[in-house]
Amino acid sequence: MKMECTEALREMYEVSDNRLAPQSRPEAQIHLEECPNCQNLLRLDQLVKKTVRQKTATETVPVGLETRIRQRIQDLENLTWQKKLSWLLPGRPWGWVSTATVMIVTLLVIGIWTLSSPESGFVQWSFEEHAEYIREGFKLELVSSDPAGVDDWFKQNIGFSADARRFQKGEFQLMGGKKMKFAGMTSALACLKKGEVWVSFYAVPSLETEIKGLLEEKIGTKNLWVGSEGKFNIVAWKEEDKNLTCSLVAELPQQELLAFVGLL
Amino acid sequence: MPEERLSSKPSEFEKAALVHLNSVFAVARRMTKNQTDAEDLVQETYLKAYRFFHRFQPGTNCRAWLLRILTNIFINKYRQKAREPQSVEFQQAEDYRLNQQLLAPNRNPDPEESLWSQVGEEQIKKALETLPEEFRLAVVLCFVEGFSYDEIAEILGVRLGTVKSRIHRGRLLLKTQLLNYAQQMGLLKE
Repeated sequence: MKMECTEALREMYEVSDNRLAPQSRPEAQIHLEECPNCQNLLRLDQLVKKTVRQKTATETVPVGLETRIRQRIQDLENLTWQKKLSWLLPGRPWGWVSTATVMIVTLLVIGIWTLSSPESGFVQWSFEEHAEYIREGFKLELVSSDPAGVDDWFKQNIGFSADARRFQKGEFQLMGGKKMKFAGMTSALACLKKGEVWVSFYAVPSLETEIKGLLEEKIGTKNLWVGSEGKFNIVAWKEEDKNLTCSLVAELPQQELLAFVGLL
Repeated sequence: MPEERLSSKPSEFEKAALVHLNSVFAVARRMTKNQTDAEDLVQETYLKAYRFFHRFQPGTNCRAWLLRILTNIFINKYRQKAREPQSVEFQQAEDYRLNQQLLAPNRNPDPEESLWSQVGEEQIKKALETLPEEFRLAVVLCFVEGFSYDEIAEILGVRLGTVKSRIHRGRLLLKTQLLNYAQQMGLLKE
């Protein structure tokens, strides 16, 4: 066997790997025709390839893997409806208006709430918003410090009970800072639920807002704070250029929540 | 309501991508050498593919597209830190020696067929696992998945020349390894 055999074989391997016409390597082809050793070795190579393919191409997919993938995809699909809420984000056409509205109304509500009026304008505004979503087929999950009051409002204005559940003081304390302690007025930030996922989006109108109890993490170009409360995962971040502190809470694996924030 | 449009995405994805689960898992299993990592890798691949499904061009090879995503995730996340130094100087001599050795048990009218039928699945898988990672990836995509060198270059994101040399070197190492097993099994005479 000569060195030119090695070279001819190398070319013929490429021919066979790429299913090329043998004539595309005329010199190697001529050599092969005259060299029984190379014919054997090429046949051997094809045999090795065939054996490797036959013995490794099928691999039993673990039970449950496909189901898990489908479930995760379904979870993601459930997430996409959140994009409906994304017009609320700063930077979107209505973002500034909505953010400003949220800011003003929030401040109003804080004022009104401290004057102990649970039937505040913000609550009403928010409920009308949610009523829209219900008409579109979403399930509403409301948390409120005054569930009975919320249910009454729904019965009177929409025609059915909202099945609000009691919102515990400080339940989402981790989420916000000083101004967003969720001490009562947050009932207005009720959550929409679709499938098993529910999500709510908040924008806190000041960079000065302190984010407490969350771990800081840098993801991409964003500085994020992450944490969890029960089965809810929390992610908060600051929009430096917009002077905003935002947070997102959802009954979703943290990775997916982060992915969502990454895509925002 | 955009509901209908939303719900058609999973079914399109299912038709185009989920049908390749077997093949994608087999490649992941060859890459990671370990069942748990392979499952994680496949799951991550499919989620990423789903998120970026709008970038997939219908009519193009979805399996290659999935494997490109898989490879990227693998390279960024699971690849071994320690790299084996590449030495190609003795490749030709090694190839020559190997070829001679493989011809040695030429006693039966069809020696190779009987030899290779005795090398088991586990040994083939083990032999693949002994290959340095980048050779292994190229060889698996070529031998097992049957991709052309051009397609492999695109999947791995490397130049065609690199693919050629990786496959050639990988095939040589694989045959050496299989030969070792065959010798251990007493299928080859020294």
